[in-house]
Amino acid sequence: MSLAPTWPTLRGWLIIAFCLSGLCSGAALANTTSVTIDRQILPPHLDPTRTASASTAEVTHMNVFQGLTRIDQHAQLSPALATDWQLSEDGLTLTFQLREDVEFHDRRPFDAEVAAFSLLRLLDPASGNPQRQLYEVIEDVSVEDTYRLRLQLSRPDALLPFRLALSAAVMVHPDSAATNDKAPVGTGPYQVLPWAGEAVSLTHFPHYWGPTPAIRDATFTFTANRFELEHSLSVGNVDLHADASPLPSHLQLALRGDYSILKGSSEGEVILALNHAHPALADRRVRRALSHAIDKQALLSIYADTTPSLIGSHFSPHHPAYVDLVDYYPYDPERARQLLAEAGYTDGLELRLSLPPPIYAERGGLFIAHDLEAIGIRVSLERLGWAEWLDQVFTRKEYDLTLVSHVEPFDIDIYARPDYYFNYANETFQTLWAQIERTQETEQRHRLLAEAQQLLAEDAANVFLYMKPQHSIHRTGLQGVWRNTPIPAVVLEDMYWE
Amino acid sequence: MGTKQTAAVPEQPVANASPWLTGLMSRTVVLSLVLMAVTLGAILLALNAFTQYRLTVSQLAEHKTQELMTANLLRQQTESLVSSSALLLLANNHFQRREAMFEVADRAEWIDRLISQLAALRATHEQFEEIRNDRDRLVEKLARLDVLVQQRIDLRQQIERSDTPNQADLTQLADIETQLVAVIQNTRQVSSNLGVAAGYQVTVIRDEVGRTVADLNTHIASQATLLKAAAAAVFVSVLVLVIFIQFSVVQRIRRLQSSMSQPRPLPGDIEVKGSDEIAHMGTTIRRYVDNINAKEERILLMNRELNFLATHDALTQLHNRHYFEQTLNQQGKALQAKGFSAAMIDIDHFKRINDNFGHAVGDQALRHVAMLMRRSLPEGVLLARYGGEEFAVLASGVSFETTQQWLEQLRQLIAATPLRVGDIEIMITVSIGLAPQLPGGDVSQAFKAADECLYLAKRSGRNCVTVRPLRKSDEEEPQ
Repeated sequence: MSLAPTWPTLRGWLIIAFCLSGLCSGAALANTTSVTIDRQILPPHLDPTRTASASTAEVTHMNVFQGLTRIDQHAQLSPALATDWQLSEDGLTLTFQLREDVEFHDRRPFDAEVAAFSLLRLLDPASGNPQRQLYEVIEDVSVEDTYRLRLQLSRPDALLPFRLALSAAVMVHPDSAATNDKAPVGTGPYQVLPWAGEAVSLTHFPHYWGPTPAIRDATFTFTANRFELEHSLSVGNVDLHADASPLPSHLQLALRGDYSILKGSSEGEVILALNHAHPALADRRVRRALSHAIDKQALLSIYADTTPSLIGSHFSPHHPAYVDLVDYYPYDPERARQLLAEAGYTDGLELRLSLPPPIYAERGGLFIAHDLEAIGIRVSLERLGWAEWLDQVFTRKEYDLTLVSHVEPFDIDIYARPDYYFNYANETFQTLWAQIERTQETEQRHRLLAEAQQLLAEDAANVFLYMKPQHSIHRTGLQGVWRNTPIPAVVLEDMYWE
Repeated sequence: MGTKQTAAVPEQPVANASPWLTGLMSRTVVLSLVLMAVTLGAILLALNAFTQYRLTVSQLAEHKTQELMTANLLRQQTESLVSSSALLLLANNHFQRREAMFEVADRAEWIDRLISQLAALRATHEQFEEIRNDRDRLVEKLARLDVLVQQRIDLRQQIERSDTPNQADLTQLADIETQLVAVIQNTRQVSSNLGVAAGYQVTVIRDEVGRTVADLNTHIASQATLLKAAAAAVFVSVLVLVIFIQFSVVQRIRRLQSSMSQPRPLPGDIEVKGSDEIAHMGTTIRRYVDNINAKEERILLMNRELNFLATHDALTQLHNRHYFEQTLNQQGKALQAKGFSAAMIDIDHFKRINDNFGHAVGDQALRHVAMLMRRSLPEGVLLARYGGEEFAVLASGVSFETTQQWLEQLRQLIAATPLRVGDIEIMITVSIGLAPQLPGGDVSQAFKAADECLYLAKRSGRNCVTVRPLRKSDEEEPQ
C-alpha cells in the first residue's frame, strides 16, 4: 500500500502536514523512554486471571502483574515476588519466601496473606480462572509468617513453580481483584492509566521494587484490520509489532532500514480445532479425512520468509518428550474422500469455518477452505472479531471448525478437559493424563507424554498444523525485545532504546 | 599657620513629603517599575504570541493533520475498494474470490471507521452520512458481485467437468456475465460518487489548513509589529533610566568626590541641591567637613598656646628663663657686635609680701611688676622672669647710659605705683643690678656682673639701681 497521493497539490499539503506532525512528534522521536506496541487482538479485559485470551497476558503479564516466579525468554524459571522456594522431601510441601519490599500500584503492601488470597482465588471455581485445572494439585495454602507461604500439594508436581509463573497465577490484592478487569492494580513495573476499552497506556510505577526500567511509558494499540496495521507500520506509528510474519508487507518494511525483524519462535501450536459435538466431527473417520485433506506445506506459504515446524500432535518440538508425528496423516485428498465416503458423507457434509481475526488465521482459513472443498466438503467462512470468537467459539462452543493458535506452553492437558471448547471427551486420554500428572520420574513421564501425543494423533482430535513463528518487527534501535516467547508476554522491563 | 573663618553650616531642611515619593529611591523605583512593566509587557506579549502559535501549530499538527490524513486515507481506501472489486471480478476460484472478499470486507470495515473518525474529528456527522451510504451501496454491490462470481466459478467448474457442455449452463453463464457487467457499471458509478465525496473532504480540510496558515501568518505579522514596538519602549525606558542615573546620581557623586578631593575642602564647596538622598549625603558631608575644620582650628589654637607657654612665664606673660637663655645663646655674637647692657631686677622683700598677704597677692605683685616693666621699657628690650621674684633685662643697640636711665625710671615707676589689692595698697620696690658689656666679655659675664651689682643694691638698702662701672682691670684681664 502506498501513501503517495495522486494529486500534486494534495502531495504538497501532505508534506506540510507531515512537517507539522514532525514538529509535535519530534520530541517523541527523540524520546527514548516511551514505546508504542501494536497487537492485533484487543484484550476482552485486563485481568489475566479471568480470561483464556493471551491478548490480556501480552499487555499485562510481567508489566502490570507478576507472579511468585517468572519465566524468561529462554524459558528458564527465576524468582519474581518469591525470592526462594523449597520443596519438602516428600514433594508435598512447597514453601515460598516472599519479597518484603513489594507494593501494589495503589501502595497497598504485598505479603503472604495477599499471596494466599491470590492462590485461593485462583483455585476457587467461582473466580472464573480458565487455567484453574493447572493448579488443582494445590490442596491447601497457608501463611507461615508475614513473608512465608506454604502450599500443601495433593501429589508431587515438579512443574508447579513453572505454572505459578504463568499469567493465570499472578498476584492480586483482595481490595482490587474484583476491578482488575477494568482498572488493573498489580505489583509490576508499570501501572495502567485509566482505560477506556481501547488502547492501553502504561506508565512506570515509581515505587516499583525492582530496577527502574528504561522504558517509562508504553502504549499498546490494537489493530485488527490488516490494511490499517500495514498503514500504521508504514507511517511509523508503531515501534513494535510482535507477530508480523504473516503480514504481507513486513519484508518490504524491513528493507526500509527503520524497521528490523526478529525471528523467534513461540510455544503456540496452530491447529484446526474441531467441535466434537458436531455429529460428523464426532466420527473419527471424518476427522482423519480432514487431517488428510489439508496440505500443510501449502498452508505455510502464508509465511514469506520462514518455514515453521509442522506438527502432528498438540505438542511443541521444543519439548524433550516431543514425538515427530508430522507424517501421521500425509496430504492425501483421495484418502480423505475415501474416509468421508466411509463415514457416509459422500456428498452431503457442510461445515462452517469460524476464523478469529489474527492474520495467520484469516489467511490460513482460505487454504483450509480450499482444501476441504477439494474433497467435497462445503465450507462457509465466518470471520469473527476476537470478542465474538471468545464468546461464540471458546465459551458457547457454537462452531464447527476454527483455526487458532494455542500459545500457552505445555498445554496438552486441555484434551483431558471435556468441558474445553473442543468438546473432546476421551476417557483413555483423561486416564493417561492423570497418570502423567502422577509420574515424577522424567523418563517414564516422557514416555507417557509420547503416548499422549500418539493418542491425540491417532484419534485425530484436531488437525494439528504447525508451530506458530514469532517474528516481531520493531523500530531499529529498540532493543530487549524477546526473540522467543515461551509464554505470551511483551516484557517492557527488558526493552530499551539504543 | 593661617586660619580661615568658616560660615556656620545651616541644617538642611528635611522635605515634608515622604522620601519614598520625592527621593532618589522613589524616582529610581518608579523608573525601574516602568522599565519592568514595559519589559514584562514585551515578554507577556511574546509569550502570548508563542502560546497562540503553539495552539495553532498543535491544532494544525494534531487535528488538521489527522483530519487531512484520515480524509486522504478514506479517499485512498475508497479507491482501493474499487481495486479489490477488480480482484473479485478476476477470481477464477473460490480461494481468490474469498481472498478478494476478505480484502473488500477489511477495506470496507476500515472505511467505516475512517468515516467515524473523520466525523468525530470534524464534529459533524451529517455530511458523512452520504459517504457512509455510498460505502454501504458499494459493499452491497460487491456482495452481489461476489454471489455472481461464485456462481460463475461453480458454473465454469461444472462446465469444465462435463465432457459436453450443457447449453443451459452456457446460457446461464452468459446471463451471469451480463449481470456482472451491469453490476460493475453500477459499482463504478457508486465508487465514483464515493471517491468524489471523500475527495471533497480532503479539499475542504486542505482549504481550512490554508486559511489557518494564512491567519497564522497575519497574526504573526501583527504580533511582530507589537513586539517591535515593545522592544522600542524597552529601549526608551532603558535610555531614560540610564540618563536619569547619569545626571541624578553619577555626576552629582562625581562633583561631591571632586569637592572632597581638594586639600582643604570647605563646606561651601560641597554641592547640596534638592532634597533627595544625595542632597542629604551632601549636607552630611558638609556638616562633617565643618566639624573637621572647627576641630582643626582648636588644635591650631592649642598649638599656639603650647608654643607661648614654652617660651613665656605663665604668670607674668614675660619670656621665661629658658627662652631668655636660648635667645642669648642664639644671638650672643650679634649682641656682642651690636653692644648691650645686662640688668637683673629683684623685688624687694618679696617673701614678706607672700608672708603677709599670701601667695596670691605675691603672684599679683609679680604680674604688677612685669606689667610695669613692659610698660616702662621699650619693646626692643628683652625681658624675662629669671626665677622667683627675679627678672632679667637685656638692652642692645642703645648706650649703657640710656639703659641706666630707663632702669632708673622703671625703679621709680615701680616705687611710685603701689599694688592695689582691695582697699589695701602695697608698696613695692625693686633692686636693680646693671652691668655694661665688659671688654672681651660675653653676655653671661655681663649678667654675672649685673647679678653682683644686684647683690650690692640689696646690700645698699634696696630700691636702687647699682651699676657696675668699667674698671681698668676689665681691660687688663680679659674675661
